[in-house]
Amino acid sequence: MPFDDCPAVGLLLNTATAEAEAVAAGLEEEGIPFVLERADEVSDLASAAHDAAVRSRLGVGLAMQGPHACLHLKTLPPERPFLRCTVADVEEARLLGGDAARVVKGLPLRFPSLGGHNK
Amino acid sequence: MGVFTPVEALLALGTLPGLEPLDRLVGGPVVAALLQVRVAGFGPERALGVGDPVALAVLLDLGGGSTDAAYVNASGEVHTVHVAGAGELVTHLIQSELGLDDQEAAENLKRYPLAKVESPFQIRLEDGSVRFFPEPLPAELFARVVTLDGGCPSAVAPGPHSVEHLRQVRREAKRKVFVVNALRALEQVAPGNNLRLLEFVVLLGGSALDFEIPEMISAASAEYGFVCGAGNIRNLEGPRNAVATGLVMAFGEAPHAI
Repeated sequence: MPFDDCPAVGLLLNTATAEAEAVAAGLEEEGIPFVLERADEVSDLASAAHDAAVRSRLGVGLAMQGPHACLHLKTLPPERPFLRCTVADVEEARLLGGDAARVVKGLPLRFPSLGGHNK
Repeated sequence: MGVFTPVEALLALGTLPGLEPLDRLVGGPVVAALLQVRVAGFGPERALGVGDPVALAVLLDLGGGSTDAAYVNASGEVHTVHVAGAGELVTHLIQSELGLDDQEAAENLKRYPLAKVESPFQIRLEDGSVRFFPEPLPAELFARVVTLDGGCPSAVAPGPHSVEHLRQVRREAKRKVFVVNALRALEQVAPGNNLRLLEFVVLLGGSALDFEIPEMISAASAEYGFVCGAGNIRNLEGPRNAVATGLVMAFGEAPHAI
């Protein structure tokens, strides 16, 4: 089932955590709509994220379980997520949410483990 | 070496990388005052597809530190000139123009064409064409400007600059150094200082292998009607090692001169 009729990034999150809120805030800051879906138990992050990406009209999905997160695109094979990372704190969660939006916008990512030069 | 048909030529010195191996070869110091060298087996007739290669051919050595030109007229007389500024200067110009700390990054920008990673599967080259990859590129490269080595992204370009800006800085640096210097050097050795009297210009040296410098010089030469081509030392080495080869051949024929 598609998330919604409007173009949005699909988020599968363990809701009601500070990190989940920060991810949503990151997307909001970049001005990209998102659809949040509660996912308390995710067995396979990569396939969950891919599923979210396929259902998202923007083709971008993000799944998070505890500190582990997966950013996926619908064009990628399910077992090859775009970005697999561990979120250390709220600040990183916000950057990750921002990165999900920046994929849509075609801007360089900012997550610390991707350490590039471009801002 | 006798099987090759050498063209008598003078190349002004200053292209030091050519001197070092010779040093070891002859077992003694090489005097930098050595001027007359022979460019070995350099077949411009093959490189350029024209007849009599000696008459009116000009050698243009685009090196790392200097640009040298040598003109051989029909009677075998040789004129040379040595002007400062070549590959290294281009690197410095790019480095200071972009305010880079890293010389390696500037060198990269000079040497390789640019592209922008547009999606995990595709990059847009600086000429506007798009190349696809069967395997997704890493997220680190997403939406970044990269240099391309052999068609694959090799390094992320420094700073927040766009492909267009970096390309313009790079080409401007090369134009200022190589095109200006090449025309200046050629003008000094050309008969009557007239570029229109030149017929063939053979490009030598490491910078003749650059992906756009020969083309830029060639474009500038159109106005004067001479033909540019890259040399092929001993018919096998390409434009590199021209001075070294010439020195070794000169030594082989007249050791007392060295």
